[in-house]
Amino acid sequence: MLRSGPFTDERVVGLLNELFIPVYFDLSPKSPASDADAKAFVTNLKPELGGSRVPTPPVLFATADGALLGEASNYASEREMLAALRDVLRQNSKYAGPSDGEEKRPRLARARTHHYLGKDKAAIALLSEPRTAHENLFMAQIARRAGDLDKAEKILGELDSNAFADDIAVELGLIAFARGDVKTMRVRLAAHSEEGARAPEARYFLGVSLFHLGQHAEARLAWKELIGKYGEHPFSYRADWAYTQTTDDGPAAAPTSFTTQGPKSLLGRHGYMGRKNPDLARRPG
Amino acid sequence: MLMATIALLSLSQDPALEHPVHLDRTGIEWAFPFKTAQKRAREEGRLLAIKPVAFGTTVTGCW
Repeated sequence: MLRSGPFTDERVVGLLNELFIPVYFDLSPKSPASDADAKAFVTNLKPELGGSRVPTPPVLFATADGALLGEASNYASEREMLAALRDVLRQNSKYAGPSDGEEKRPRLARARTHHYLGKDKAAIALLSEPRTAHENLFMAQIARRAGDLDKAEKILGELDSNAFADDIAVELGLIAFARGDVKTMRVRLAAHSEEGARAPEARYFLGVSLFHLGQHAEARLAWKELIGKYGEHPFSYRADWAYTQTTDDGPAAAPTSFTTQGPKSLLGRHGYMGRKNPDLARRPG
Repeated sequence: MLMATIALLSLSQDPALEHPVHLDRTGIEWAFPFKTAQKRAREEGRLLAIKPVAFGTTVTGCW
């Protein structure tokens, strides 16, 4: 579920890559992803993960010496995962220092890290004028995520509408979603080119807009085509999740517990990928 | 021929090349095996973010 939700958020991925050492392994010794050292380390932190039938493990935040400093549920939303990552770094700041060579990174990259940490003032201060167009696009994203939608729209309006057509289409679509205006959202996202860099994201959210407009079959078709075209991709994961939670008539009855039995998703995942996809649960308008 | 065989044997013994998480496209740069991740965490002054999976990752990366 994490891969279908919070692990598709650039802020979560950015923090994990820049300020953590992310580790994945399977507790089962028979799995190709098994790791005996990791299992010994983790079961020392959480003995309940040592049996043959275990609860769904959370993400654990730990020192290399085995001190457990925090965790986040396997079913955490993007918002919850981001908060958990930021909290554990804030409370253990000696692990949140800049990497070697930080000053050599472009200021936009450094500003992104501040943003991922929730330090938007520091990010904005770093991007003092004059700004490049890409920096202005990022400023619009900061404003959108902070809920200052008018400001985000204004910054986007000042970008080169040809050079940034696809970015503008996605950003305006997401602004419309934040406003609950799913009709405008659909129109904006449909303007994204078929082959542009953000096409999977645009197609995913186009499906979300169709879903909220009650065009459930069309929404599912958009997600299915996205998965068929892009395969393993962050927005395919999200589309896969959305597809499993819907039918052509609307939301599907949600399973109440994990099972490896029964049909798999379009990407071959087990059917239960979390209780609520926030993009579908959100009430527009 | 001998060189190629040795190279292939070396490849098949590298856990990084066989790990199912290589199919993951989230963009997360998973560190493995664990001992390497632990060493990096010490050297770089970082915390480990560990995601254990409990139901059997398949070779297709199902998790």
